[in-house]
Amino acid sequence: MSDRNYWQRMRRRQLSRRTLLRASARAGVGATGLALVGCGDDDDDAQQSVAQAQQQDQQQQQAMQQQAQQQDQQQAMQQQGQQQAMQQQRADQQAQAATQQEEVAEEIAEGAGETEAEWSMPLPLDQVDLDSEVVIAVPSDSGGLDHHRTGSAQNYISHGAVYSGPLDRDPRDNSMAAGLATPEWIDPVTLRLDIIPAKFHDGSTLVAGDMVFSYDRMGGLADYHQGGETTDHSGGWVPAYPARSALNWVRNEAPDDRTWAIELPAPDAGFLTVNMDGSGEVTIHSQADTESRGDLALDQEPMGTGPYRFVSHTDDENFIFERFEDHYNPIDHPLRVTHVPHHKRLIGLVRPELQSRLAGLEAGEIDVISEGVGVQAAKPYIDDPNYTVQYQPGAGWSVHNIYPNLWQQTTPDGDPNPFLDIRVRQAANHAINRRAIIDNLFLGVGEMSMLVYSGVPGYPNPEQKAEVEFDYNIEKAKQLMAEAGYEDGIDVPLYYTPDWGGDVVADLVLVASQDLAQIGIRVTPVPTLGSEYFTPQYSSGRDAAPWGLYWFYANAVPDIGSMWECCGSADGFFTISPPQDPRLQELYLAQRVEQDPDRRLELISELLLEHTRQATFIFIVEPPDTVVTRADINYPKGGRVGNLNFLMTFAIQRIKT
Amino acid sequence: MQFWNYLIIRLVQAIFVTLLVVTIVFFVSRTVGNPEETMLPPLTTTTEDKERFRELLGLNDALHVQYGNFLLDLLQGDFGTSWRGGGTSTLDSIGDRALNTVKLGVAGVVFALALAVPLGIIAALRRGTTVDWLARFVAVIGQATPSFWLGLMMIFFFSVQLGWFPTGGAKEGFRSLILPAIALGLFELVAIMRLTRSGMIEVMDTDFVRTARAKGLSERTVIWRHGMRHALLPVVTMLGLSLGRLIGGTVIIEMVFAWPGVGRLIIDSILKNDFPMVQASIIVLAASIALVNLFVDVSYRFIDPRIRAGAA
Repeated sequence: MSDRNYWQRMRRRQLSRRTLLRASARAGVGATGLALVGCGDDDDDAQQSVAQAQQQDQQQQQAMQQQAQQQDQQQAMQQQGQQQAMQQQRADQQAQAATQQEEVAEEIAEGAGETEAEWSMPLPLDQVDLDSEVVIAVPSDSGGLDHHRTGSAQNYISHGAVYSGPLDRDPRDNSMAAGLATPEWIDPVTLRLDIIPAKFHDGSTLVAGDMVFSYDRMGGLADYHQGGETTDHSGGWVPAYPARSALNWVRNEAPDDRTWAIELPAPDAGFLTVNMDGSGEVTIHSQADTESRGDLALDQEPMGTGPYRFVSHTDDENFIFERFEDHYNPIDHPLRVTHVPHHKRLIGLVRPELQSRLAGLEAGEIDVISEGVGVQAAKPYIDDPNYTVQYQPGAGWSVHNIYPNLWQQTTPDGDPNPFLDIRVRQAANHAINRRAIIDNLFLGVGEMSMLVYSGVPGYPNPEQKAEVEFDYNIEKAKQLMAEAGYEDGIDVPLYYTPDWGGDVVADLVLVASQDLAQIGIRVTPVPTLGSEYFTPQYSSGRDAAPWGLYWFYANAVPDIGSMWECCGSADGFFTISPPQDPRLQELYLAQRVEQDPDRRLELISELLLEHTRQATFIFIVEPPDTVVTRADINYPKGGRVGNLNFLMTFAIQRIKT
Repeated sequence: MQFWNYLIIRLVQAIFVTLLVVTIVFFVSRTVGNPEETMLPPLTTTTEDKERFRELLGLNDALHVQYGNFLLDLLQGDFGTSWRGGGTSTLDSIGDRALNTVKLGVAGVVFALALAVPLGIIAALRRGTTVDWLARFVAVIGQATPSFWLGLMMIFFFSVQLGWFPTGGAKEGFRSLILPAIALGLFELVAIMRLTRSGMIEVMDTDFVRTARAKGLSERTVIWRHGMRHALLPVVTMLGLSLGRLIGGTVIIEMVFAWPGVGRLIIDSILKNDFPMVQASIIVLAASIALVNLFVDVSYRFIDPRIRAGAA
């Protein structure tokens, strides 16, 4: 029985990378010896000498181990001393920084109500090496750098580097701050924005016409490549987000050089947060430059108003950027929205394998790994004074839930769909031991998930969230199952794709299956290719998806709108678990038309709480995003910026030594 | 004349094999992946967007129509344009990477050859001694060690601990090449060394070598002029196969060492369902391997008089 317990198996597997490498090295020597015994040539009689060699190897290993232990002890003492010294130094620096930037700190504390742990302060500039070079590991390179174009839009490193969006995002709470534009709602559907005379990297001045042009280009509406037919790009030109075309605005114009006006087809209070920061495809280009150089040149050598000037890009090798001194926010801009970078040069080094990225970090070739490091991989660096490890909500697939198919009224056997009964869904939620998941898989860092990741504006505060959280209570869960008439349990498939969400997904699926089995929900995991995960419902209509449970992967989104409209509402094209109570949709529609920002956040909060109360999903966990840096790097802890990390590269500081 | 007939037949065979491989890749790739699912944002793209995307890429045509178009383009020298970013044609993208992959493959072969032949000869000539034992020890290590593991170990020791080489990438030229070339070439080294050793042992026991010694030739002449020439015949064949294998089999090493070669490009393109890039890469790889094999076959005729005589 004990062999079937996931946690016991997992604990045996919990090895640090270094332990693993050392063990591998030893195992390699041993295996070689064994292979030598078994694989010698037929024309030899060398077994005796092999045995002697093995014995010698063992003796050498023992001697080396003893020596290594002594060295480890000495190193540990030295490291302890160094660690204390560095901690003291850092504490002094933090204290000094806090003193010198008291005003900003007060503003942050008052404005966002966050603790120091959630919001790391930038160091004063005199402690920062402003002429330094910072190297970030980048796991993939999609080729191009034109964020309006499908196929090129995924090179996130240049989103916030070369380009700016109309607005900046305040990392404390993901709210929008004035950037290239200052917005004002004239009425519920009309937005007027004042445009600042920011400089492009070629020295030209931004005008409102560039905003109009960029939005039309983003939506695939720009005249010169209407429909992608007249582009000079050899790979064709398909807008990255075709959906955000004319449907998103009915008027887009520049009455004068400093005024930009957008009229929406219907009230949408989320338009600013969804469509105006520098993430995704929302980037502002120079009309004159784009039209003179063409789509292909722009895809290879981007030019914008961002904090960095593009220097070079070698496909699958690196990106190189340099500080843009004429950025619209100066280097000492007090808020942590975009400003002139605190280092001179930014390099993105493309390293597809995590082990290669970590090796680069240890060898000093890489300063920051902010993508694709799970907490387990970061574990060996937590107590190492040469590195800094920090957690923040969400890059990548940051929310893990299970959503039951609520479209089907019956199971394949013709029985009523048990998950249509709220008591079964509540029981399933009570059966998940989230504390064990967080402690064992995520080193104690993480929280119960909701519909969206915790960085979305309007996400309930901890007190509100605690009121709706499902405690781990097997007795209660069994009682609910019995009340619903399912004492004998349910057999149900769980569809998931190991392609998304990293290695941890397979672990999470096993754990959830084990937890659910305790109350009789007998799950059969069904792995599916990532590229085909949504195909059944896409090809056949969402209500044609087979009955069962589905793993719900959600990435960090800037606003509730994009997640609700794809996966939460009854109309969402990927919605498996449509809301069973119309009040949820009413709350969503209410927040869309709510012009009062505070009231809007309250409505979003209520929507998320109600969605949880109704156990619409089986909520699992929102693990943290882990960032590992070298110790002399002060990384801008992004607060709730989440996967918009690359919008924050300008704020990375290399501490003077 | 017979030689030219032979060459033409082998060339046709090479083209046929390449085409067969590409056809298989063409159909298999289209049955396992949907580009719109991987290239468009998964949670924010509507059904209409996907339809439009498929239409633009010609994916709504019947498979045989797509295949016909593909072959027609191929006949005109058009290998297609990547759906990936960057705007370069597939051949341009492959060209940059192919050079890196060939560099790596050749470096791997050179490394293997430079050590394998002398080690094999020495082991054969000093059969049963410590040198022979050591050579075989290295051989077993090489054969028992997976290249990705070896690669990671080498990065850990030589790059992280000792700082002698970069941990990945190709930006430091020759220094960047050393570790991946060793990791890649070790398996071939072992195979070539064992082949050389057994070949030499066999040859040195033959009558004609005994005769050469009886004629009073020096041991050096016997080894280099008579023994080596015969012992290395299978090595030449092996070398050609090795080169093909190394060029086509660098995928894992390229991933581990972040080496920007064709292998990485193929993996990346498969994951993104970038069909034109996958097809073009496979064509280039399959054609190179077929050509290398052809070259080996042809050169074998010149190296081994028995084959010439047999053909005559």
